[in-house]
Amino acid sequence: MSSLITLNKDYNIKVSSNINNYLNPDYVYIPILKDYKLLVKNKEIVRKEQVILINKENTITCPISGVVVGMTDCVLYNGIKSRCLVIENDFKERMFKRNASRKTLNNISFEELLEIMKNKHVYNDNNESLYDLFKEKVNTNTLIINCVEDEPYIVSEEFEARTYINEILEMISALMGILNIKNAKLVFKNIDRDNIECYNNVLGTYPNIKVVLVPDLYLLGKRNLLLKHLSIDSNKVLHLNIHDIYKLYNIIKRNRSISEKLITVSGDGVINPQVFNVKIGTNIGDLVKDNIKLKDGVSCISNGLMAGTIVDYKKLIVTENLQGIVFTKIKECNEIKCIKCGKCSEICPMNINPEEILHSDESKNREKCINCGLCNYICPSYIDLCGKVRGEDHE
Amino acid sequence: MNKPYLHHEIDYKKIILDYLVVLIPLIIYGLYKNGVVLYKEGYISLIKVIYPVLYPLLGGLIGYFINYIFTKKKELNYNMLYGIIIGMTVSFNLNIFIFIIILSLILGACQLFEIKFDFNKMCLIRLLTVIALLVLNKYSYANPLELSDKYSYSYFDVLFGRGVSGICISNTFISILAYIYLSFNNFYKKDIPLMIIATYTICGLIYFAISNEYKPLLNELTTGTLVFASVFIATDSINSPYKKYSKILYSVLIGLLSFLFTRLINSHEGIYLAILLVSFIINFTKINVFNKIRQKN
Ligand code: SF4
Ligand code: SF4
Repeated sequence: MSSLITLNKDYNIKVSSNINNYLNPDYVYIPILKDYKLLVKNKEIVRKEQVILINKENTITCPISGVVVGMTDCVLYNGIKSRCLVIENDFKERMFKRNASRKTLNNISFEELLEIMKNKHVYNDNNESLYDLFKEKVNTNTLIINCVEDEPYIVSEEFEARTYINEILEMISALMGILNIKNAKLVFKNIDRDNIECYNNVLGTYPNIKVVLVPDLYLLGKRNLLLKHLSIDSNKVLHLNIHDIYKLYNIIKRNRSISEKLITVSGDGVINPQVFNVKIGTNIGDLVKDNIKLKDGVSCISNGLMAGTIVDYKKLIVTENLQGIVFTKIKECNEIKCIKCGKCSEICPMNINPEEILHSDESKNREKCINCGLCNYICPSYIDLCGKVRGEDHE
Repeated sequence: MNKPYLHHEIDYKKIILDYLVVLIPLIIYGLYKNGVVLYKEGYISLIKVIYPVLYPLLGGLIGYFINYIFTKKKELNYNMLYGIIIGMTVSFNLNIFIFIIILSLILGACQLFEIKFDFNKMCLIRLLTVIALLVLNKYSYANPLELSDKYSYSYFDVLFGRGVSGICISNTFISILAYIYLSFNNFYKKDIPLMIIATYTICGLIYFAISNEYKPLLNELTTGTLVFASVFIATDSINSPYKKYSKILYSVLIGLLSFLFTRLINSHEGIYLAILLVSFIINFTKINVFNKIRQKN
């Protein structure tokens, strides 16, 4: 496997250390995804956390209370257009009666945990069912909590880690008890000073939870590459992201579904980069209009410069998969003929040789591609290898 | 710009720029040796002093314009770099118009037909200039001063540029410094020149062991052609392999063949012919391999 690299990023781009709340949008937009059944009608009054879309495996709840006022076209984090349900906010946050929050997480049994995971259809950031994962990983040695953010200038998970530090530690400790795991390791980048300091200050009361530092290398946020870097056998550990832990805390302890999310708005095209706590379904155009000063001629890239996509931010809406948006001036670069430097195959973490794939119809290796963008990043000829490997451009 | 919207600090323009930076000292030395010195000794007129700069300059301009005509892009490009490098390697006695015609025709034809079957164009263009010199009965790399045999030089002098070679490439010492500089660029195939020169030296040591007379080998290693061609021409990224074993094979073959051609023809053409031949072989085998993969699928 290739060795991971540090990206050529501008370390001077800093995000304000405070989280700004943007929790009262006039409207929220809920994408009506394929295979989902819509459970509400136009003009219907909806409550917060009411299930409004459902399919066989999942449910989608309303992040606010208000009235359904129609449908419109919006853009998702991956640039795909989607029909969205528009809900007008009544700012009352009315909810149906629900079970109260738990006082403690300590008395939950393994069976109870599995039941919650099954009933609430909880998935981790890698889109794996936590029900299956917990069932398989009970009694493993170690719990690894990955707090490494790969994308340059996006810091939502780092902020989440320190904003909800008590909730996160409580959940980790409870999970260790329920799943009979002896040790937990919180993995941070060695440049993430704020989190390292915060966690080191409080970990004295959690002797089995340790902080592990890793260098600022791209792709350590990915499970397999992190475990490989730490020389840990993936069969012997349970790996979760910090966001998964906070999600579990909300679902298990607060008995709530996720209706808010931290979103980073940054990049060299933003005068005041910030992290916002927003309602799921918020229109990024509204958020930017009210809070962000942009430089002229910048483009918006959702989910980061490496693996992200250029989007029209005025139509972009916040979904669970959106981590942040980066504004930057896109440089015009001319693609030239391949100069056979071999760097793309040297750098690919999945051992694919993109340059060879350009000349072949082979499909086995194409499927291995994780769309990390490293081949395009390194290619001195500016060839869209990533697109070609994934067949986006393949005849 | 394609996704991702962040790029490594090195791109093709930076690679070309690095080459240009290290070529300048060689051109300046060429100007001194084949221009200023000859003028001072009364061998050439004042106007001819600039010839060592004129060949690479014209070569670069022709490459630049050919690229512009076909791509409409005003930027550093490989044709321009090829033009400069070829301009530096030609004989002092080559007619400048013949140089312009051959360079324009070959670079233009390659662009026009977008030749799929690649080969080292620099070596081909050089070969054609050599043929032109032979036809015109002007084949020699020595300048008038060198022809006069007025001075004799030690190997040390030759290493520092006093040997007979292409118009701007006689200074082996500067070529070695250029190699060291380029080696810091991760995109430069730095092992190729080392392996070529090592193979060549080993062949020489074995061959000359019979006569126990190593002067020709020392001469070939210091005159400039071998080192310059290994550092700048054999490493032409587009026509050299990047996989470890292919690179070894490529370099060893060039080392062996250039030694052979040097013995059969002469030291000025040996390495260029070897590079041209090996780049043909490499591209030919690659096409066959790909065809086989396709057929299998
Ligand atoms: S985008 Fe795909 S092919 Fe390119 S480096 Fe990443 S995994 Fe490899
Ligand atoms: S990185 Fe780009 S130029 Fe280099 S071999 Fe791969 S495709 Fe060719």
